Amino acid sequence: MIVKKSISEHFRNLLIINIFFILSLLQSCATVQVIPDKIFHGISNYHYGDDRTNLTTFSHLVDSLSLNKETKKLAEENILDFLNSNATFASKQFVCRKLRLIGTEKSVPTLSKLLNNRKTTNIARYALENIQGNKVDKALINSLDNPDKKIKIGIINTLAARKTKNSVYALGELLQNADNDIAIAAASALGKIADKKAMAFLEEHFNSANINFRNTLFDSYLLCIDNIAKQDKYEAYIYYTKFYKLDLPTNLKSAALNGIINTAKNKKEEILIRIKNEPTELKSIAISKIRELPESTDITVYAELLKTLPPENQIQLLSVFEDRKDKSVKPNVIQLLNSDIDNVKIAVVKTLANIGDKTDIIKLAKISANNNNELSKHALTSLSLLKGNDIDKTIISLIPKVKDDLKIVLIKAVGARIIKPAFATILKFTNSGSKKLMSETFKSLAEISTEKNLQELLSLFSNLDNIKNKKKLERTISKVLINYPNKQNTALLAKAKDSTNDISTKSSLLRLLGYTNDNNALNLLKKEAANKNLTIREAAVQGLANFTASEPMNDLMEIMISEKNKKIKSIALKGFVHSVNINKTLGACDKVNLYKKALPFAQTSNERNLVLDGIGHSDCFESLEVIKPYINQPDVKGTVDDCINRVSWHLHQKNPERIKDYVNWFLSKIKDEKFQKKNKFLLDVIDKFIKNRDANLR
Amino acid sequence: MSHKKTNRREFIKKTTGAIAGLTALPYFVPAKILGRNNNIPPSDKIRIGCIGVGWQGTSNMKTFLNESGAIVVAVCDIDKNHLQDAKNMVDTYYGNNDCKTYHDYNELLERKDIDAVSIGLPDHWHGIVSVAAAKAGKDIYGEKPLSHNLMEGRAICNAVKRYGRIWQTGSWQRSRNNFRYACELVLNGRIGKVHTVEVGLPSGFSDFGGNDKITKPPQELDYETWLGPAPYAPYASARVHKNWRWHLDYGGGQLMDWIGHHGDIAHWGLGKDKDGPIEIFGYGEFPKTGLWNAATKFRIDSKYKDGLKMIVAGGHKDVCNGTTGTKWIGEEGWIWVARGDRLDSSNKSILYDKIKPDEIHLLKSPGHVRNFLDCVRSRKETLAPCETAHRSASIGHLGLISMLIGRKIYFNPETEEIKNDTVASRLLGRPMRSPYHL
Repeated sequence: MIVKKSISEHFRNLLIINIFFILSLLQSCATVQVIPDKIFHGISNYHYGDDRTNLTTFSHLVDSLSLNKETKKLAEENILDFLNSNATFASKQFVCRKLRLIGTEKSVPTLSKLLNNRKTTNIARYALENIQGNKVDKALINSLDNPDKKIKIGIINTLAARKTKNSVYALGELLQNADNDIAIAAASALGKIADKKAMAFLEEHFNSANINFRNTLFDSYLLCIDNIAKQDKYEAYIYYTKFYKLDLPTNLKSAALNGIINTAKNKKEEILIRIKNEPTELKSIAISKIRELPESTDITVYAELLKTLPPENQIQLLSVFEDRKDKSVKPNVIQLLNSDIDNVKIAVVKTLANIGDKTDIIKLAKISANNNNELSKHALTSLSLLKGNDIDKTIISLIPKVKDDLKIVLIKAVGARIIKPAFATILKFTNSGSKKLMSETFKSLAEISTEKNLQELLSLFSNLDNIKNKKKLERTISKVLINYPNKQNTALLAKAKDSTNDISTKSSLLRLLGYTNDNNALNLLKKEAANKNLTIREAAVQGLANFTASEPMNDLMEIMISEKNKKIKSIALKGFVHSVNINKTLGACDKVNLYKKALPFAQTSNERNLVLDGIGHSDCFESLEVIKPYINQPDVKGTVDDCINRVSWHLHQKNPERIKDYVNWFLSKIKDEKFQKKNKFLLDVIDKFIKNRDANLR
Repeated sequence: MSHKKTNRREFIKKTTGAIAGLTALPYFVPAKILGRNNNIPPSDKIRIGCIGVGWQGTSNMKTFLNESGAIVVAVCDIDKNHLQDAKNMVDTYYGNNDCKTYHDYNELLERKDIDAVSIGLPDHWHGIVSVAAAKAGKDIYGEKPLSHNLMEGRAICNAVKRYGRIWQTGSWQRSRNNFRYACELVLNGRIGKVHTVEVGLPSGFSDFGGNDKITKPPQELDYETWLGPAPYAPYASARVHKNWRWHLDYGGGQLMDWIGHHGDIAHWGLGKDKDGPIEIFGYGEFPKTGLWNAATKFRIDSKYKDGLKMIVAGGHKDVCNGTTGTKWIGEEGWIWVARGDRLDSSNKSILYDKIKPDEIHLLKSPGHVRNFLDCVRSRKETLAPCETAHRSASIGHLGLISMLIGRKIYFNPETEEIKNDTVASRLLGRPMRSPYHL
């Protein structure tokens, strides 16, 4: 809102000033100079590359003058005087850009002169093209006999852009021009104008030997028919059909066929005939048009053609059925599952996602189970997307009845479809003999389980013997805790922890407590982080590190300082860095100070990289200071170099001189080519920024 | 990463050599050559020509090289160095010398054996080359923003539609999970009815070096063609490669560079892929000196027919909390999404929500280029089709027009006309330098 106000005020003030200015001038002289000479003088010697300040001033003034009819008119007059002066080409070009916006037929005499001059013809057309009125058209047509090719083609193009009907005769004559470029430009222009006269001229040259000219001619002719179609579809249909019978390349045939179908009285029938009778490339145009038929159209007639089509057309037609979601075509679609071509089968399977029902569940499951390729993936995706209220229920009921390979697919579908009621059904398979089945069951449980299932998951957890499965279930439970935060979760975990004497289970539960992000869990973990048992202590610290909020930050810091065990120290360090990173209340420099405190505890290169990366992502000048001692150390070099470049980029507009000093210092110390190249480029950018900033301040 | 693969010829040479030594055994064509097991036979590969192989163009070309369903057969550029580098890269990848080079894109488009083109050119060339490619019957992978101005965007969409072409815009955020998921959450009502969407974009310029000083163009660059339809201006290194974006004759600054990303995502999440604003007020700060003249700081306040407000800004801390990304604000909360897999919401539990089978699902992309290639085969609409790209670019085009004339404009998204403002209307398109035309 502030912005809106300031801009409108700016223009209002300019306008008021100008109106007073005009009124005072009106009293004093006959020729009203709304654009002061001083401004024109400021731009008359402009050359490319000069300071653009005066151009900008001129431009803003014309914008403000254009708001009022009277001042706009006067501005145009002043600009025309300028165009008749000896000003530089670059300045006249700029002025024509503004004249383009405010010009009227009054500009025609001046612009006509420029139009017929090879040097200025483009800038004249730039201004003329959008000015309405017969005088402009007349001037353009009169200049068409200019012998200069560049001028002539430019004028033809402008007549085309203006769709000047009066120019059709002149353009039609140019179709015979010996210069191919001129003839092509004229043919193209006639297509933009696109009336029947233009059509007649174009038709006269259909037999031309020049391919490029003929293709432009044909395209323009089609545009003329498109134009007829807006008024009379039937007439257009006749033209398209006649045109289509000519000896045309496929691209033009495609466009013509598009037109035929668009204007056909019975679109459905026309499409059918074309699919049956056209060659493969053109069949595809007809097939695509099925998408445009009303939703209520019976499309089974097309489905019946499926088997008779070449594979590429089958794929195209199947994709139409996929889009239209019309179940009536299913029997024909299913038949193509026997195709030899994988891509056809994939298209069938994809279509089934939209037209299939519960009877296709097993079919899709079998395809997914029996293949190990794209087809399998698509079958599973389609199974996941099948629509209907009874799909989920059917999947649940089928799971216990089918063999393991199908069970696996259906359980995958349970996860993908998030069939929560399947929880009890699939829970049983967490202890089945098949590794694959168990693995998929754990994955799907992670998708469908909610906080309501937590108790059952914890019971299962306590009863599992297999360590690998325990880990999988731990991941599943962690997902539930993250997705369904609930105070009860902490209580359930705490209870489970207290009720077991197994250290491994206890440890898992402590780690899981971290995912609750709950204060009670935090207190419990803090307490256990002081436990004398190393395994328990480690798990508790991991729990603190697992928090997805930054509450445990200070506790982790303390552990990092006081803990003697290296492994636990390392977990605390990583957790601390994570906590600082996700902390939304801390500023960049606060974070750098915290990372700085963590640095002495980073013992391994991984740990040092972790902390230095945090520093590199904090946009604070201090980051560049902290990082200094680490330059040229091989194990952290990548991180440090990235930090220097990243922080410098981010801060160079804040204080370019200071960043420049830093970058120069680093460049004097770090000699490798990549670093030098990257940061020398940055120095160039900073210099340019400083230059522009100083120029704008002037 | 090794790009060296056994090429088709080498493969045939090796297998026939082996067969020659084992004449007693029957020769079976391996299933992978027949297209089984998802290995695509060379004859079925989509043949790609890359037009514009500078920075982004090369990046896109590399992605095509890595797609087993495509083969890059030709490259085109008006910078000899770019062209040679691209050819070397392609030939090294395939282990042959087959990649053809072109200076003139028309010659590449004339090749009947090329199915699709990847266009990686400065914005001011998008219109001409894209329209020509569509007319030549090529499917197109084009860059964002779709066009240099609104009318050129419309011309591209019309040509693509008339010729029945497949178009994918390089708005690749649509192929990233976090963006898709954020949009699905919004579309499925997780934050209630959306009343405002904030689009945070970068501000300033990303300086890629170069100099404002006017010099002779380097020998390797056909500068006259580089300028193409844009108004004449002498060569300066800061005008061309990579930096063209900061000059309004060729690009549209950070606004137009990014609107096809975060603005595009805003539309996607709102189901407004084919819609546009009706009221637009833009304010921009433009540098008064130097060669570059695009807005360094900007803000566009716009309104849609249904009352939705969209705020697009670069350099304004109150929009998207000063971050780059998209933030939808609904009656029941907000969702924010940005690059780096970032996703946030006023209600964190939303972020763990799953989209149920009966809800709105957006296409889970197999990769942005792969999606394009899939659609070339199926003739299905891509994730970021032409019209969609045109609509996201339009937000920027209209905002820029409003900034340049300093007042609010009123737009009809159906007719694509600006109401009652001849000055603004004249900025919807731009006359082209002779001999260039769409």
